[in-house]
Amino acid sequence: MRIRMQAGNSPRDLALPRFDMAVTGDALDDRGRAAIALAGELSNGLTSARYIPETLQLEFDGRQIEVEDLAEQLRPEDSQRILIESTTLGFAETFLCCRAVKEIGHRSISFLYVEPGEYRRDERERKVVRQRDFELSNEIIGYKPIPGAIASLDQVPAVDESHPHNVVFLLGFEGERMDRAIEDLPIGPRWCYLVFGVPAYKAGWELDSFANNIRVLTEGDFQRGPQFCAADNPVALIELLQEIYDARSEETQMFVAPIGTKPHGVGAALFAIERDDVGLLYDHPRRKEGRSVDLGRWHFFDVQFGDS
Amino acid sequence: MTVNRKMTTANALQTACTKNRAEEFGFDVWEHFVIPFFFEQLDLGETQKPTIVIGGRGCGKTMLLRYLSHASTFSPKKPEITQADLRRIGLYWKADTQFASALTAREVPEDVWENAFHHKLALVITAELLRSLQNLTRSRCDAVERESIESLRFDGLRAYGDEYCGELRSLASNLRQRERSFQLWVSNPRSSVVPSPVFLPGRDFVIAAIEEIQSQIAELSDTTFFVYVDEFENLLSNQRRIINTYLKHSERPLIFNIAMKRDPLQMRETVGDQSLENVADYRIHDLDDYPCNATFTLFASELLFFRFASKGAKTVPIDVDSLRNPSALDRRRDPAYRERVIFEARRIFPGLTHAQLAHAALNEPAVKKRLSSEIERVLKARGSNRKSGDFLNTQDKQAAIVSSCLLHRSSVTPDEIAEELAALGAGQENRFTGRTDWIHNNFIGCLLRLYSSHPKLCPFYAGFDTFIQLSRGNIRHFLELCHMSLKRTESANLEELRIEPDEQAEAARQASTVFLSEVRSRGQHGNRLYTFVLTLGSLFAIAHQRPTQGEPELSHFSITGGKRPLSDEERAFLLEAVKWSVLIEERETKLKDSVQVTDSEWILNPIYAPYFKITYRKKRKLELKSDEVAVLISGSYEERRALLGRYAERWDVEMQDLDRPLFAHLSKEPSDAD
Repeated sequence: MRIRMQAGNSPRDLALPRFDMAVTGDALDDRGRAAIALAGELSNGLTSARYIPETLQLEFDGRQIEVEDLAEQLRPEDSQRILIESTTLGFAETFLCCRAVKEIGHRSISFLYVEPGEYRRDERERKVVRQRDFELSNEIIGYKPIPGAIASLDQVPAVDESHPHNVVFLLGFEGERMDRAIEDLPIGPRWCYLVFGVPAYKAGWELDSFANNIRVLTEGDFQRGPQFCAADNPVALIELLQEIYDARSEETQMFVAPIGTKPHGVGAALFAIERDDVGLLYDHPRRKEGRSVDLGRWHFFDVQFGDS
Repeated sequence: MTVNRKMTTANALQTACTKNRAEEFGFDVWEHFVIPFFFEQLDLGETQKPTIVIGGRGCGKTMLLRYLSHASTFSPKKPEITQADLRRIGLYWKADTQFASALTAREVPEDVWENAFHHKLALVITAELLRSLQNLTRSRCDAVERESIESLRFDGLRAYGDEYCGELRSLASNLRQRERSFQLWVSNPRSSVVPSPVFLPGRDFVIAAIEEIQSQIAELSDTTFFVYVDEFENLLSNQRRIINTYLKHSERPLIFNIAMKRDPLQMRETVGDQSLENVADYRIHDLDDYPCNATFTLFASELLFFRFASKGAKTVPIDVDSLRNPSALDRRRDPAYRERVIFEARRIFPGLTHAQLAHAALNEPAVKKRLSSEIERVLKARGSNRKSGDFLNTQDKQAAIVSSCLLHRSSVTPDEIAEELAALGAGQENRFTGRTDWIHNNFIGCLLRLYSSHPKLCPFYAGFDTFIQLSRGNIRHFLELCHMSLKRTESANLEELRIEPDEQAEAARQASTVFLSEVRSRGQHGNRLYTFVLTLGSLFAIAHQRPTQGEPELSHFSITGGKRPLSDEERAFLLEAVKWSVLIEERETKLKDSVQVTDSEWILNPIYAPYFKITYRKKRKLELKSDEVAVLISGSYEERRALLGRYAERWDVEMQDLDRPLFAHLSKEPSDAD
């Protein structure tokens, strides 16, 4: 797999091809709207996708389908160029699209991602309760499986094995997401890797990720030191995951929990589709219409499957 | 060398209470487990009945189950393995609910998924069974020869497939292979290249494996294996039904038990319409019911010193071996022992008496200034010629503080209050301490009100006994309070260790903040629960600002009247709040109002009290209407804001008197809303 990455302050800074199809999610904020608008300009048609974790189905182009049938939806032409608009798509949709594209033998897939703009930190520094604290309405589905990367954390041990699984948490701002995983699932903290997006999109943003997660890191029984990987770099993330994958024993099952940045999610998805023994742990947050304004940097990831 | 050793010990004291979740200890918790006082009530010696263990997060449920399971029973650190240990072997399974929820839909018939779940159970439990034998070989058990286990053969399982017969290692390896294949199939059930597994018949397969073991190892021929299924409530409904059936039809040598959070809806499904008392088929242990304040106080203090001892502290008032020994419970109930241990815990975490709290408050310049300004303001408003000194310059500082609220009451004049103060000072009958008991009834409420806008938290939240009340039987909460208090100590000597009340109070606020933020990760409705707690806590915080302190220390509510009854969804939400220990439900003993919607009282978990700067004591109740509760549960921001505003107005609470960090949003202009 070859991945070419481009980044710029606007789409004009990127060399963008045309696409036959762009798969998008819901535009909940300015950057989502801008990303979908660009995807529409670059492609012959927009198609929406939304994973339904309760039924393990996908709402694709307005119709509810089985996940296994997505590949058929993404044919008809083998040379079809597909753009995954990952600003608006969630991780599950991104992974399922990658998997389907690979299944039908496409040679390439591309991703678009727009970073958020300015980030208000004053309320976090002063711990002032704001209106938004009363309006948290993100529905948290909880950790539910994604077909194609379903694996069990249950201990079905081989003889004398020391630990049956490694979980790699790709961390973001929301500390409660890893907390939920540790509480709800049979995860042994000592066998977990914690990956922070460093450098962050903007200098200083990583402090919030540290602040919200460092307590768990220092007070939980995590025996592996923190890992760092640039927040906007899926290639580096794949390399890190590969290192962890190669370092484990054959009997140890690897899981990835992509609860951090979207570029890390793209990297996790591409990593997982290449292996059938990697499980994904994801809690499917549903975002309400947000108040995020401004756009950050634009990213374009172009992936070529097969030998280079 | 001496310096380094001291630093190490200081660090040891700082980190003694860091771990407060069972998951952090692994599966062998034998050396970390302190036998709780209700252990005898579990009746583990003789009963062969299935058990339902109920408890909220932090009650010690998982720790208990792991203690009862083979990894702990056969811990290599355990000095002796008894015959009783061999007769009861626990197999702990914390269900991987994210995987279990994959066993559904995707155009696969439900009966196939049910068979798949039976298969999953067979794989997991048999694997645990084999692991228990491996742990037995690593233990100090003399009764069973290691060779007899290693030479075990499971040829009797051939009926289920050739791959299941052979030696123990071979079976273990094959189970692992089957698990991997099963996972692959679950991930791709309709794939033509991934073969469907031949499903094992759940319980029957496990029993067949047990029979192989018992026919070859005489020492285990009388063993009963107890399966403990944790996180039961998070399985799918058909999966719970399957385990329910296993539970109800359990008999030797395999008994199923389940562990779950308190969830009345789930309980009805599990036990049917029968009452939640022990029934013929199984026993119910509600762990939240067991610790009363008296035993929890001792247990918590023992646990504290147990942790210190595990970090190398030598001068502890407990005997570590006794705390690990179920037979030593009577010794631990000795009054002299109890007094000694609790005394030491109080030495480390000293609290303040009410008199000391009053002195501490008036030694805080900002608090004293607020008190003085308050008194001046209300005297002026009432047209009194008196000065604040008339009320502050008294020997009884509690009375001075209470005076600030009494002066707001129209039922009593400033002169009358001053006269009562004088009588108090003269040792005469007075209303501050007599039948009216102004101090007893109002002091804490008045004190908290004074501190509300002070950056430093009131030392009311300090003290070992206070930590006991804040944690209310929750071990995790207690350990976190201790941890936050200890983490900055520089003391290296346990005998000299003492955490100042101010530091404890700050630690309580930090712990409270942590647990409040964790509400968001509690189940599917975590965010709604968080908003609910934030609003309810804010409402109580406003009540604590009431100038007259007419009903001081509001910390719980009941639902009385209203335009409409609570909907099913709203009732379910309240039960969800109870399930996650955000609220504690208590049944009222008397009904005051014949149209009460419910006869329950709902107490905000006291662990949140430091965050909201409200009382942790259960004193006064707020009667809310059902539509007001509905706003708390599912109201929009504007509805919540209006509710808080209405009560602030009703209670004469001025916006500037409200704690800025908590109520900043109420004072913002709409255009500033973020």
